[in-house]
Amino acid sequence: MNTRAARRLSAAFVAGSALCGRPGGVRAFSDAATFAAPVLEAGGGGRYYTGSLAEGYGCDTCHRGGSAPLVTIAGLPARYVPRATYELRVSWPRELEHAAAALELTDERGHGAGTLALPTSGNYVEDEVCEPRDLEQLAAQLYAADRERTVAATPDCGASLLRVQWTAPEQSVGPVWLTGSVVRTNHDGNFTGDGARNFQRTIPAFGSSTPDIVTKGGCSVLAPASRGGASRAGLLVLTLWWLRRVQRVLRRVKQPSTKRWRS
Amino acid sequence: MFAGRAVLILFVVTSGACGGDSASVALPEPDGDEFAADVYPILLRDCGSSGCHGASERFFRVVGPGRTRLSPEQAPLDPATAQEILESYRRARAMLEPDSGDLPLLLRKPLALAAGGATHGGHDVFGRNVYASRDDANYRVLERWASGRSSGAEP
Repeated sequence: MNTRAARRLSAAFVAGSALCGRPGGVRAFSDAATFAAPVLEAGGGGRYYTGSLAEGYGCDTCHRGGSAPLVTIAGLPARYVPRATYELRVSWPRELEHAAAALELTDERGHGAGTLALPTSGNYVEDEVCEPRDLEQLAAQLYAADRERTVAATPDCGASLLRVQWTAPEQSVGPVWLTGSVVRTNHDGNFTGDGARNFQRTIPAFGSSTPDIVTKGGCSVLAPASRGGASRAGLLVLTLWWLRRVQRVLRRVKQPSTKRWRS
Repeated sequence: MFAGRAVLILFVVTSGACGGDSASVALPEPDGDEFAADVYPILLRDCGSSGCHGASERFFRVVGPGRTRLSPEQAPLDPATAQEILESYRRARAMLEPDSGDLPLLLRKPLALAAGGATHGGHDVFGRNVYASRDDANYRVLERWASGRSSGAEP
């Protein structure tokens, strides 16, 4: 067991002891399972703080005051094909002592889009298991939420990667939103001094008639592909201007030389 | 003559003071038990995050399990105490304006502008207010309680 793992086990012991003998510095939402619990049992009452269109709030609703973690997202398709499966990876620096994450995929109405699956036993990568690593316990869990949503979440247990397999909906449901939040905490038992980063990515449907227009916060914004269209139009104008110039030069060439070489 | 004037002034001043008292008495007294059972969990869930109305500097403040606790002695996962429910009840009740045709602040602030609400700092990452319309199930619970139809004692 390395030093970091030993430190984490000690911290878990201290936290557990504190829970048994109050007053303590136990974090209410260090485990995403708490989000599903009723509010009066210190739960989220169904709020998972993924910042999705269904919820709208991320980890930064509570965790503030510290620097937000750097979050890397990989595996997103440019456009999704119905029924196709994609491996999505959200990661944050391994150096962070305490971090947790949650994500989900919804359509524009905030309803779950497609299905999520977690890596199967024996196929885990090092960064997605809890410490101590030799126990090979996958950090991520799936939670069923309202509006047919599924939330994938990783508690604060030493992992630095949340990897899911997303199978796109049976039919196109318009743009699908990947939303989530990663929080790093200073483990001091309250919400201050922590930092959270919310993320949003829109995945248009392949072959959709309006794939390049996505809705963001009630406003329509142009996706990068449409800006490519604008630059194509610019290229066409430039070409026409160049052709006209060539035409002018050719016309001059055809005129008598006396006029061109007048002394 | 002077004594008569002094008595008159004293009467006016004390009347004014009484008038102030009667205004505070006119605040609705919605049911405390209904608050504890139905309204308090909604306020905790939708308003009571520590960065929002769980913060100590807020006039309207909701405290309880999993959020900001009233006393630092309480562990975050401990059940709500009677004091926390009472404090939240009083703060919520203070957001109910008396004798006004408009919605009280408690109902106006979290409601979307398009639905007759007010501007509110607590919008989500998409710029939406807490409740999109008055048909929201949680909003209707708040509305029923705030209307004072089921008035009663403090929780």
